[in-house]
Amino acid sequence: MKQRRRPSLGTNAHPPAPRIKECIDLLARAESLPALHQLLATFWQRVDTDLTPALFEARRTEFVTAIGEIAANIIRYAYPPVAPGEFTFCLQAWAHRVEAAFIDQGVSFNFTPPPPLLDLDGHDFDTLPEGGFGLALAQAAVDSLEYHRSPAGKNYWTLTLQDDATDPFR
Amino acid sequence: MQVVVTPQSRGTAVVELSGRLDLLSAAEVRQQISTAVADGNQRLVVDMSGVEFIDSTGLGSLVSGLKATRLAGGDLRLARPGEQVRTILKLTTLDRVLKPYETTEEALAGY
Repeated sequence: MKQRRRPSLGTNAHPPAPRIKECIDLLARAESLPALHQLLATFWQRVDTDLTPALFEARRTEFVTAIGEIAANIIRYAYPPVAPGEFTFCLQAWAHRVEAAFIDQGVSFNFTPPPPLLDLDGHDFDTLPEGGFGLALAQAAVDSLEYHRSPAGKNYWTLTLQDDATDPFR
Repeated sequence: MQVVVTPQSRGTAVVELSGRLDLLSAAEVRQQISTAVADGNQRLVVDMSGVEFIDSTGLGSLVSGLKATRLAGGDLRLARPGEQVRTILKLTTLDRVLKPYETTEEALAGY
């Protein structure tokens, strides 16, 4: 799994509780996306009020972009179109780290490292891809993107931004 | 998502988008652009100033529009994209084929 910039977590095998945590349960349907974006807006407002105001300010659009891609992936692929299930979306913030987590109980996702982002060299306009680059985009936008499937049959997606602090949780 | 197509002169039109261009709205935008091209507007300027968020599905609808206009002998240009739109264009390197213009007038120039 690619990790663009991930400082050591030190001895924090059990990280402290986040300073901010927001969660919401949503139907895995495109109509749920506005509620997801509303939660993001609320989260950043709380970060600006309760934490260092500039925390990841320059990278928030990248973080939000990655979140949108994972949400769309779950909505499209986790459940059959005729029987959409639910997913839980959580946002957490520590002093030097923000994390987004998705949990669903849909089908297992065959996650392999996404191909590199678009290589436009050699493409003529007829063959420009119109999709299929969402995961690669998400991975390029955050410091780490992780997926795992639990024995209980749940899918966990975690997206992280973390700065270079010795202990990102404090 | 709101889509407003305003024909200009000589097969040119401005497509004004506002809202979120994502999984929820991309199909509609794709259809509206396709209809605009079919109506004879093969040179489009898409005003992105009202787009607050775009995902890869939304970007796909613009690539689809670009192909449709090129096939008709025209082009599709993006004007006034916000920060998040610029971010996704840069991350995907699609800014090389969907070069952002600062104003609609600048994008329309040369059409």
